[in-house]
Amino acid sequence: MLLKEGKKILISIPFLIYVIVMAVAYQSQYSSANHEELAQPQPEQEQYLEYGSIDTGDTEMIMQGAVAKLIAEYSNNSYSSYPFGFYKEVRLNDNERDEMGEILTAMTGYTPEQIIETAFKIPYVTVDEESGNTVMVVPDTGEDIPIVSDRISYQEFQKLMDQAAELIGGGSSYSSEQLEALGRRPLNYEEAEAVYQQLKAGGYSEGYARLLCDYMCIFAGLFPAFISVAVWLRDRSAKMRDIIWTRKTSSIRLTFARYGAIILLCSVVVLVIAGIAALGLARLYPGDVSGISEFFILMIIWVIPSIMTSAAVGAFFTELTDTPLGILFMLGYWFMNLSITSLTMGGLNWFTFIPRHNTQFLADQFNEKYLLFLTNRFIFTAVSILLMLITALVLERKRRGRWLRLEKIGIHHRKES
Amino acid sequence: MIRKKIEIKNLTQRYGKKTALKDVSLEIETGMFGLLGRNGAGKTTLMRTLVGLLPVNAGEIVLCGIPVSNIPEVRNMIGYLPQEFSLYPNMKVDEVLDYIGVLSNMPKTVRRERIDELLEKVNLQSDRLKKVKSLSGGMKRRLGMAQALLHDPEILIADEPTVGLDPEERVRLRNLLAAEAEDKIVILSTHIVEDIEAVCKNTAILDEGRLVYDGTIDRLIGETNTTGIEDAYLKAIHSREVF
Repeated sequence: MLLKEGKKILISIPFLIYVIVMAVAYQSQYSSANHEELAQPQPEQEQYLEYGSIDTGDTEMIMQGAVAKLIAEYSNNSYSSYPFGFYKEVRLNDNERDEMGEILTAMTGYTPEQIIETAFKIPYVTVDEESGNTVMVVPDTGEDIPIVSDRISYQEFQKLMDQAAELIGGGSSYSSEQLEALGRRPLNYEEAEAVYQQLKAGGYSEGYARLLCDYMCIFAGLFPAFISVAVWLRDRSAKMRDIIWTRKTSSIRLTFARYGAIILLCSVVVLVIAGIAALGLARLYPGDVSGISEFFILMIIWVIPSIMTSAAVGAFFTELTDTPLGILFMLGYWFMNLSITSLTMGGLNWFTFIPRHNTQFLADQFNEKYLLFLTNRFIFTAVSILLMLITALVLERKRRGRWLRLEKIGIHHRKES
Repeated sequence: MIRKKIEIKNLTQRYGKKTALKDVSLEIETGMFGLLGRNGAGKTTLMRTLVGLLPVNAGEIVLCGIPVSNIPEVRNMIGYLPQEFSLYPNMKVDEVLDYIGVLSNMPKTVRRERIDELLEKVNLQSDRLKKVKSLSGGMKRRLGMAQALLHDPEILIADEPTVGLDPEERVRLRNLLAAEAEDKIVILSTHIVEDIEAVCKNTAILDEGRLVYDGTIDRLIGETNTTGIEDAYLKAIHSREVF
């Protein structure tokens, strides 16, 4: 039965869309950025951006970085926000813009006119090599913007930034919970060399497998729900329910054959991508790649539980309601998870649906949370199986006419003859 | 040996406040049995209850010695051709039958043999590679018959199988049902009197959920003092008497 169900899914449009999405995600997110060998950092390099950046946690850096960004956005009246994890441009009306000007004046001491004049020169934050202090520099003139920490405390700064975030709306990076991300700085040579050596010590494949799984999980966490909903709605739309429901097969067998076929096919797609990525890495670092099995193992542990959950949620809600409600639920859950999880394992908890580790570096941070990560994945696997058991139970009750009396009345009044 | 017999005792079925079947008692044995009634008489409710798609509210149903509550056994012994049905439109004729065979837990070799046999019987042998969506209404109904007979059930229940078919297809389908009735219980539910007259010896008439007649067609004509089954049927449902 698994093969029969698999064949039907294999030639369905939702599955074709899934394959295309995963292939495009692999190419655009992972492959295009990692098709060249990562060179060992050299002391004379100008910057080390390709080796990542680091959360300084330095309040002075955060304050200066946030103010520089806010000045630039204020002058263009164009604020970037990420409600539910997706980019949205926000423009303020005149009153709101005045309020934002007052917030910036309170932080910098500049008048709104001075702020706009400064912003045209696109200020940036850096560390003064000699003093080691954080400075915000205005190019051309070399003039420094006043140090915010000289004027207000970090707590006052957070309050003002919360006001700014409220003006911009949901998903602003100025809210006090998000502010720390604005205190990131590029690595210096020693730091870049350290992360490079760590990546090399892991035989490259560990690091890149994590990065690949990070991207794949985002998409594999959503699209199987579409396949599932289509599969679970198909009997109804094809008017085959009564024929199927009166067959000898048990509801458990039917439910798990369909579910198993979806999981199997979706998993094959991500495992093929894992294989392609692993071979690509082996070609990039001949002789240095420790083993390609990491790609497959991590894909199974990391991504397949999300595929299982997504498909289970789609199946469960469709069986329960006979509508594509599962897609709406999954979309909401997926958006919410993406918007609250941080880009690295730092934000992981038991119920993080899409664990993130958006770098091939920072193995320590990943390994530190590995047990929690495994627990998280086990929870989602177990919940998925439980959901499918309930789905089978709902199906069996429907097959016996013991589910939702209203539905029965509706069907039978229509069919009564 | 279990006798092939359906026993329905005092069956009452309700949807909320509406009573669809009122205290219906019937015995149906091997052969062709016609179930007549107007739209809304309760025929589909009775069919769906017999195949286990509806729970019994009150009363008792025993199918060849098995209570209808024993759903796995009931599913094994019943073949059902619903009134409104279709089949996966993009599947080929033999694929869809093979899929139904899998759902009936039939081994592959048995499935293959049975599909060949049934396609021959319903005259779809040369159409086996056609997609379901390309079949005519009559061909789909014959394919529906084939799926209902696939697992060789002891009881075949066909709910309004001839509705919407042209005269030739109607006759063909009726004859198919009649051929199966030699060693099976075949229930033909319809509101078309002509179909019953053509192939059924015994019939029951339902009206507004009540059983108004149960017996042979000849007796129905005799007891209603009419000359044909059509008049007899009309008299039975309009007189509000139980014959």
